[in-house]
Amino acid sequence: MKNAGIILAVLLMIVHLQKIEAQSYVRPVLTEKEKALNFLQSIDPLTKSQHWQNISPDLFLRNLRRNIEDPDFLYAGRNTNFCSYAALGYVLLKEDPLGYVQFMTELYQNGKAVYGNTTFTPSQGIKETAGQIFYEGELDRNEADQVLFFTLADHFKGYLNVLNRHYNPGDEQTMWASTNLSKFNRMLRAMFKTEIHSTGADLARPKISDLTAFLNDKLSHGNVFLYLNNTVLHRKFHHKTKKRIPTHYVVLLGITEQNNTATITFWDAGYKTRKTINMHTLRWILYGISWSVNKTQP
Amino acid sequence: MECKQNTTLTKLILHIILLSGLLGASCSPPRNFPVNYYKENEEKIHAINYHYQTLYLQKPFAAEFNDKRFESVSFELKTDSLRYIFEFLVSDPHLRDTLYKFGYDTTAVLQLVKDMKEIRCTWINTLDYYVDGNKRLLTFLSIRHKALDIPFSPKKYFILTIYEQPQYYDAEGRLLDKRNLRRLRKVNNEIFWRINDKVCYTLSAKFR
Repeated sequence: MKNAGIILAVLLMIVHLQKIEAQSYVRPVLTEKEKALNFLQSIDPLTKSQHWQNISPDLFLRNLRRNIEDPDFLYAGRNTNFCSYAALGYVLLKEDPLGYVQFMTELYQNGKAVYGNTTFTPSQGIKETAGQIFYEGELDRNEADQVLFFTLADHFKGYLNVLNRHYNPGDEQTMWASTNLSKFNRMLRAMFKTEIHSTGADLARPKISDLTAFLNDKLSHGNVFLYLNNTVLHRKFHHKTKKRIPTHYVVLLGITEQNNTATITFWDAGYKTRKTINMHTLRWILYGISWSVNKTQP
Repeated sequence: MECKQNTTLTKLILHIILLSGLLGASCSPPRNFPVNYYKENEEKIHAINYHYQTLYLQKPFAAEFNDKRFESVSFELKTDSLRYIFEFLVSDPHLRDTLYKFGYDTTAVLQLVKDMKEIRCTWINTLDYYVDGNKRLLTFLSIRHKALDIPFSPKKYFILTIYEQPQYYDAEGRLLDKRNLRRLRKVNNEIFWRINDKVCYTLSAKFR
């Protein structure tokens, strides 16, 4: 009986020691966001790039870190045509933060970088201008964002860019930077590892009978981007005549409908915004819907 | 006969030229409007700026009158996580309820709205700008005035920017980036002109 007690005590001790040993091997599982922040920590301090002469390595790293910590603040500037690149960047930051920081660091250090199957080789003109954007609000000091937006605008081209394909100073506000729907979809397909689908066109609105149900269905499977006429969501003048063309990209985060009125939550220009809008108006301003289908989700 | 025809034609051409001149003159805003408007409303403008800045520091927001009768107002209420956009008639009691629900000083905000209407201010917001990498703030006011409402020409807004620090200007009175640099500072892609050290103006087709 005495021996049995000793054997039991020894067995318990062995089990306890094995537990301690096992625990010492278990490491906390890092999220993608933590991995991205650790990566940034590991490359700090960054040496000044020979390719991007006007980009300060400190500001570049600070901007990357801030983007990872809070992607909502990504900002395309007040007067640029960078909204499509910002919408893409916002989702990229949420879906693949580690891939984003590795891509951006490679781009900064080597002057070119690969993301997915796409090799980005920015032209000399944008390398000289990045870091020298003025009077665009917070974009002035967000040097990494300038590098990303300029690189995407320089690489992807659509029919709207036919007459102005080569960058000249100030072109961030011209057709050089503008994005038609098919170009936007090509950008999404190049930058995301998910399936991308789209409906609508540059000059014709999509015909969807139950728009709210349609958008909610797409939101349940992935990210949804809206291509719309921004004269209603972000009015800048009080003219009665409004241009019947889409001008802006936003990331849809949610939509509910009651009494023919929709409450939409969307991200653009450094903010998540919630606005109530008449369903008829929403249909009137909406020209394109692009969405990703995350295969891991049902 | 030919001579009479020539005289009639000359008269017609003269009339057309005169009419074009008159139309041209009537299609441009009065040259001294900005300075006169500012002088007439200086006290109210600065009172609005002071009250708006005080309220903005408590809880950020922007306000827009979206009709020419100044009866309908739109608010952008900025919280930590979301920006809410609401539209109300000024007389709608839901406006007060909504401001209260979001923690705004309802009486002060409604007084600000009333003051904005008095000077025909259609938009008020705070914008950030950067000097040597440091963030600074300015108040951006857009005025929708009848004097600028000219037929057959795009709508014009009289924009005022009010700074906390004195600004630098060139010999023509244009707002400069810095004292030593000869670069013009643009706000919302517009060149601004001096009213005084801390206040500039421009005429713009956009109110924000």
